[in-house]
Amino acid sequence: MRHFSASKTALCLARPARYFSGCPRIFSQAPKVSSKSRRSQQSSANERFNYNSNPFDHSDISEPHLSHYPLLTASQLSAFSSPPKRVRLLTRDFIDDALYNPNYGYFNQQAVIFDPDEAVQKQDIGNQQQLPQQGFKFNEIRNSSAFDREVLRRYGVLEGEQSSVALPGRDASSARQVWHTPTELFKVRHHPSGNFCSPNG
Amino acid sequence: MHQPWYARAVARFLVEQHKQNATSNEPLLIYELGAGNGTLMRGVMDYLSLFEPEVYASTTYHIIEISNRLSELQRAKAGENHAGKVEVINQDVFAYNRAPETRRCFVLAFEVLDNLAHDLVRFTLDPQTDPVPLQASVSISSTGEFVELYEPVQDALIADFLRLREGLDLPPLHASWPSWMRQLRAAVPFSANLSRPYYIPTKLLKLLRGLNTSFPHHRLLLSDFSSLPDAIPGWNAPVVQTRYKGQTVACTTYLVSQGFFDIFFPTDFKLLQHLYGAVRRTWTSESGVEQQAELEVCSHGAFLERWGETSETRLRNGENPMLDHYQNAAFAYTR
Repeated sequence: MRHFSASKTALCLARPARYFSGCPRIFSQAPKVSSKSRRSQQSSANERFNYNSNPFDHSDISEPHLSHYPLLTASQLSAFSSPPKRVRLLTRDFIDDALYNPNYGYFNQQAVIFDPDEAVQKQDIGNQQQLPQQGFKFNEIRNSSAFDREVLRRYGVLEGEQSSVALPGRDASSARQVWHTPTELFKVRHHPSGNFCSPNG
Repeated sequence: MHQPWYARAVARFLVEQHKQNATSNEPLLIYELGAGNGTLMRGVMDYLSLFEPEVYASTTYHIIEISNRLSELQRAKAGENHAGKVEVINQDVFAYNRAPETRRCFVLAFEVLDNLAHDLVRFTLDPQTDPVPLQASVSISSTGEFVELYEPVQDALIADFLRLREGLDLPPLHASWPSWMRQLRAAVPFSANLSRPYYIPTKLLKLLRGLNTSFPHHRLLLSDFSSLPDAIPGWNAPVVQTRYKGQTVACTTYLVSQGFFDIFFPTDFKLLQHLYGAVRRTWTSESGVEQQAELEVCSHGAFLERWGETSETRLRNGENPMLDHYQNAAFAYTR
C-alpha cells in the first residue's frame, strides 16, 4: 500500500499536538535538552517532547512502521482505558474516539453543559438545594451587553477557580468544561410555586 | 411576566405540525437525539401539559443519549413532573437497535450534528493526471505522537459519500484547475502536492441512513451552527478548543491529545438539504413508501421569530438576545 505523506502544511499542522502529547512530566521535570541528548533519550523514555521542532528534522516521523500499524475503528477502542498507541485510525474514528470514548473521551470526562440556574444556586444558596427553573429575567435586563455580562458572570461562577482541563495526575473531577446552548439560555422561567405565570401577569 | 422561550418555540412548532397532519387519536411521538441536560424535553413537556393538555395526554418523549451521566440527569429532570411520559434510552444512536418505529414521529437533533465526526480527504495536485481523492488516517506512534497519512480511498463510507456527493446538484467538492495551471503550480519550488483538506460529514450520512431505517415515518427538526469562527484551516473544518483557566483556547489542528478538547464542525445546510433528499429518495425507491424528502432550512432568528414568543425575551431597550444571539445557527425541518 502506498502512502502519501502530507506536504509541509500538514507537518506544521501536526506540531501543536506535542504540547499536549500528554504526561505529567511536561509540568514537573521536563528537562531542557539539546536535540542530540533528546534523541538518545528516546530509546529509553516512553514519552518525549520537542519544544523547538525543526521543519527539516524528519526524525520525528521516522518510526518505520507508522504506516503499517493496524487500522482500528473507534468502536474497537471503546474498551481501551487510555488513548491507543501504535495504531492507525481514519480521521473520523480518531475524532469519534477523542470525543466519545467511554473512558477518556471529552464528553465522558470533561464536558458540562452550562445551566444558568446552577450558577445562581451555587453562589447564593449553596449547591444542595433544588430550585425550580429560573432562567433569566429578560424584561429586567437593560440591553444586550448587560445580558452578555450576566451570562459571563454566571459562566465564571460555574467554572470556578478550578476550571481547567484535567491534567494527567490531577483529579479529573475538579475540571469542568462548560459550554452553553440556546436551550439553556432561553429556558422556561418558573414561578417559585412551580407553575407558570400567565403571559400578561 | 417571565415566560419560556426556546423550548416553547419548539413545542409550538411541533404542536402545529402535529395538528396539521395527525389523524384523530394519533399520538405525538418525539425522539430526541442527544438531549444534554434535558432542558428542551422539560420545556416542551411543560408547555404541552399546561397549554395543550389533549396533545400532552397522547405524548411520549423518548431520548436517545450516549452519555451515562447525562441520561441520569435527564431521568431526574423528567421525573419531577413527567414520569411515565419520558423514556431515556442510554445508547449511542449509531448502535440503536430497537425495532423500527413504524408510527409517525418527530426526530429532534439540537446541536448534535456539530459533534459528529467527519472524515478528511485531500486531492492530488499532480499536473499530469486528474485529481484523485485521498483519505486521511492518523497513525499514533509508540510515543503517542500523531502523523497524518494519505492513501487512495478504501473506506466504504468515504467512497459512498464521495459518490453520492458527485450525484448532487451542487458544484463539485474540489474544483480542479486546468492542466496548464496545475503544471505552472507544480513548477513552483516547495509547492504543495495535495489540495487543502476537505472535512466531509461521513457520520452525518450514516445518521441520515439510520433515521430512515429506525424511524421510517419521521419528521425531522434540527438546529446547528451554519458557520463557526476560529475553525482550523480547510473546507468545512472544525473548531478545536478547550477551556483552560477560564480562557477558551483554540487550536490549529484536530491532532490533539484525546479527551481534552472539544472538536465541533459547522454544518453546510445546503449540502445537508441535498444529502437528506438523496438518502430519503433512495430509501423511498427501495421501500416503496412515499415520504417527504424536502428539508426546509431557515435561520435561527427566522425560526424563533415565527414560532417563539419574542416579546418575552425582549430586553428593556428593545434588543432581543434570543433572536440576535446565535446568528451563525440555523434550523432545518421536514413538514
